[in-house]
Amino acid sequence: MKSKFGSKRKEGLLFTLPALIYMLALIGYSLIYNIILSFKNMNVRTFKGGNSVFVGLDNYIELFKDPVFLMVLKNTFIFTIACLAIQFTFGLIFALLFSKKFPLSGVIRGLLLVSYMLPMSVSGLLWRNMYGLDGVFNTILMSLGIIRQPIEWIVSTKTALLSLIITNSWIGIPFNMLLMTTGLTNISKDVYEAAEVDGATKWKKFRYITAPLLKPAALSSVMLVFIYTFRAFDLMFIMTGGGPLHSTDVLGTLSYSYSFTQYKFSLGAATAVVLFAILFVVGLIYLHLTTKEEAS
Amino acid sequence: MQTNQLNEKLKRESRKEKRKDFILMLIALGIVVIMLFPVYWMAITSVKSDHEIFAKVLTFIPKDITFEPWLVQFRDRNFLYSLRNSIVIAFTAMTLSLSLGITAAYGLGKYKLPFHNSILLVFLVTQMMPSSLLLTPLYLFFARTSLLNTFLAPAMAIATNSIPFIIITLRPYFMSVPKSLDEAARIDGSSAFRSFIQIVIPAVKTGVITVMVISFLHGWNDLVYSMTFNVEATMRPLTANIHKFMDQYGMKWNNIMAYGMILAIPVLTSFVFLQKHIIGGVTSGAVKE
Amino acid sequence: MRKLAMLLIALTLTMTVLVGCAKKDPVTDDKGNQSGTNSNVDDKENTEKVTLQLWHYISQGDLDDFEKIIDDFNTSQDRIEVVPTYVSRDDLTKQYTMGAISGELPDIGEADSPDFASFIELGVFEDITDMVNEWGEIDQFYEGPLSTVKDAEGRIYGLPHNSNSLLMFYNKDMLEDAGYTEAPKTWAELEEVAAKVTTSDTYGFSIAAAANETTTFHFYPWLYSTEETISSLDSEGAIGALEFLTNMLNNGYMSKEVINWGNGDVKEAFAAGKVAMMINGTWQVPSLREADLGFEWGVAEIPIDKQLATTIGGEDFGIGAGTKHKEEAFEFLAYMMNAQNNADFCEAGGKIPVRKDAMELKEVWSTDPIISVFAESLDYAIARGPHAEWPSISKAIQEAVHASFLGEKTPEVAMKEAADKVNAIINE
Repeated sequence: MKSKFGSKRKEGLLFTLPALIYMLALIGYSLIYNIILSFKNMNVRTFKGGNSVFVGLDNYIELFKDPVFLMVLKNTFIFTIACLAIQFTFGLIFALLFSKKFPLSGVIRGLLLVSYMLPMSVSGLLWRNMYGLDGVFNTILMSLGIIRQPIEWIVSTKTALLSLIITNSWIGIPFNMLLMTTGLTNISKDVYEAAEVDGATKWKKFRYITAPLLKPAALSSVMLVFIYTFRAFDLMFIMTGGGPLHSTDVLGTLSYSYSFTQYKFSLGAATAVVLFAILFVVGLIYLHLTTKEEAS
Repeated sequence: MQTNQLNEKLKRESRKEKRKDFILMLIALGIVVIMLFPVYWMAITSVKSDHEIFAKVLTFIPKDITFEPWLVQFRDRNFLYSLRNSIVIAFTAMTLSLSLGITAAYGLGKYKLPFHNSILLVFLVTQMMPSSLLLTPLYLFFARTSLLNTFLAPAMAIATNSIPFIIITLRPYFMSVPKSLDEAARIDGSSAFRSFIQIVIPAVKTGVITVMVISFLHGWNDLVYSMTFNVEATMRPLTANIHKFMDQYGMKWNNIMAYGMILAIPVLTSFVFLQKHIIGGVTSGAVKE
Repeated sequence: MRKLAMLLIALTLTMTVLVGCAKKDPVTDDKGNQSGTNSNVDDKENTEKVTLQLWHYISQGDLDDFEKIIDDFNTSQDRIEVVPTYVSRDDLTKQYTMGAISGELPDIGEADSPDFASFIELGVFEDITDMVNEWGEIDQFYEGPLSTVKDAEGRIYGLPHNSNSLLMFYNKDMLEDAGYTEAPKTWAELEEVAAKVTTSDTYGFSIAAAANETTTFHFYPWLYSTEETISSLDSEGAIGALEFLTNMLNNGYMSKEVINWGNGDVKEAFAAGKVAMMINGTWQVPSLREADLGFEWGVAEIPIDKQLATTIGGEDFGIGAGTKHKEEAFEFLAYMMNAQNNADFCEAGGKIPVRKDAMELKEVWSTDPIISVFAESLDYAIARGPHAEWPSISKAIQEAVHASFLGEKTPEVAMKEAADKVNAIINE
């Protein structure tokens, strides 16, 4: 019995180890590289000839004393949570809607995926174009009489982050819809038929059947979207460069700008490690939730 | 008489169904109009002339349609190279990601492994670094392993993003595959691996197709890894062309939009084609009502 | 169990083979050269011909003229083959940084002149002082551009390639309609004219102020016109410069969108008749001339406060650190930068030569009514830096300009903060 169990475990490990080794070799290395770098003082002055030395927590202290960094941290959370909420809600609604058979449902669902399939550089430029002061959004809104003055979208510090949240959600909703749709396919039709016989209402069916059965898939996709959004970088880089005045700067763009624009390599690495540490905590929460889920 | 009544009732029901379908379709079309407006804008911009794009009055229907921005893409002397490179990179990245990712998802979904949670955590954690910060260490890694300027370098880097994605997404599906299905195959004398390939994967086909499309997309849309690890012009993917349309001389909006359409159309068509399988999956276990 | 292991190994092997196939098959580019970065191009070809990798970010419009010089060089002798590769300007800094860490640098590389000092400090480029001295033509190079390729000790790490500067382009038709036959010459006149020509769909004036080097490039002329400098950003004059531009924006003569506009965006707006007067660079002249704009335009000096001022921009080329072919790389640099080639390339691309003798070769820089104004402006144009930490200095200026434009800070507060940051770096 015991040996059989042991061989089962080995079997499972054989399935899992190749990927594990692969990821550790490529990313483990990168991670350690960045963590070490974050405790040094590598910058344009100390770069050549390996003149950088270990400076302990100096970089982290510098970051947390910098009001810009604190603002960037706040932006990152606002951006992530807002995008997550919007994308998940609409992703789920669309998935439920399109899981019904009605004329054109398949085609329409397929078409909706375009926004996710465009390269980020194109989506970013497209929206930058549309957000222009005399761009298409302002033109439409003004001709409909909804606004009198053009909205300053990505020009004003007040609206820039919101504009990026809208754009990022536009890109992300189909992705969420896809993951939710896939999740729905695993729910057996029989369960609903049984419920129908019992005379369950629509809401009850959603509340007591769809929601619990969808929970594992939903948890995974929330986790993924959280990670992808929290480490976002490309969209800001293309649309605003983190501006105006850091209002759309997030941890990803800040660490890039430290590393590759200002050659403050260690500060860039420290920023990335903070990003990583926060996601690590989120990862632990996810793990806790899924193991609880799986145990029950 | 009775059959008539029944027919009447059925007819009424089906009329009611039809009306409901119609309303649903209207809602769906409304969603499409809003969600796809930017795509419409992109499509019309891609056939407008520079003059019209920068004109003081915006046009919602192009006045003079020009296909020049599209033709520019195909006339590029490296177009065929770039197309081939994009395909090679995307397929290599996808194959690598799927073969490592699906097996690992199965291993974690079906078996109780030693350090189970720690392993899962590793997969979560390894996708948490922003790609910008992976560039330097990965560059060093590929430089040392002489993989710079090969298609393998970007493909391997892209796979580090897709593998955790596949594991996180598919693991719940493997958990929900009934043990009996797998075990039945075992009794027939199949090895674990064969039953995995022949029995388990088909059972989670929908999920597999989804992750397949998305990991292909990761490779197809990659720009940063290919540009960083392969500097040669002849090794660049299609996505690299974006730089040709924006510089200090100005933005070639129509070219950028045509370029985006050209990149999106092949993926979208293949997805719509594959979607038949997903819909097949959906209807077999669809949420009714 | 063993079966499973075998299968897994088989799978891995298949993968390796599959992926191996996709590995670089010797790709040849359209000139029939094998290519790679310097460290992995061993002279595999049977002859001793040396292949040199060259990274540049020369855009489409100038590419043919640039490649022609390379082709001519390649056919002029049979020992050296130069292979140019386009790397976008955004990617270039990243690529040099990583190249410096790993040793994978090109044999020859281009850089924007204000960035060059950082690259010297990072060890991206070779010290070529001795070769340059032996060459004996360096006296022909103008001091301004040449200063950007030197370190603090005066060692030379590259050669300037071309220069440009900022001037004011103005829509003659619009100005005439408003009753002006000449471009404004002072700040006060500029404000007056801008007010007159601004309409509901036309901005009177525009600079480019995208959140990168562009803003600093564009702020410099206004700063230096007040006779203040980068080390006196908290002076009354410097504050006044920012105040003036901020007022132009607040009065609606300049679009708020300038904070997202690069040089190209401003040119498009000007070409479309949405901007009547714009500050822009030399390189825009050829494309504006070719385009069918439907209006007459001219170029004038940037309106002044106390003195004429503009910023000099341009590109430099250096030899990648650690190259095995330093001699050959310099041979090419010397060829590319001879007077004739410099003059040919600059004439075609709307740029200004970096050599006195190149300037004398063609009349365009003294007779062309537009280009000559640019060429003359180099007499008083100010170079940014050179400073190894230029990007941080530049960022402080950008943030001050944006803070003031967006109304987050008064020009005074913004400039004082910038002064603190910049002085800390300069006085380090």
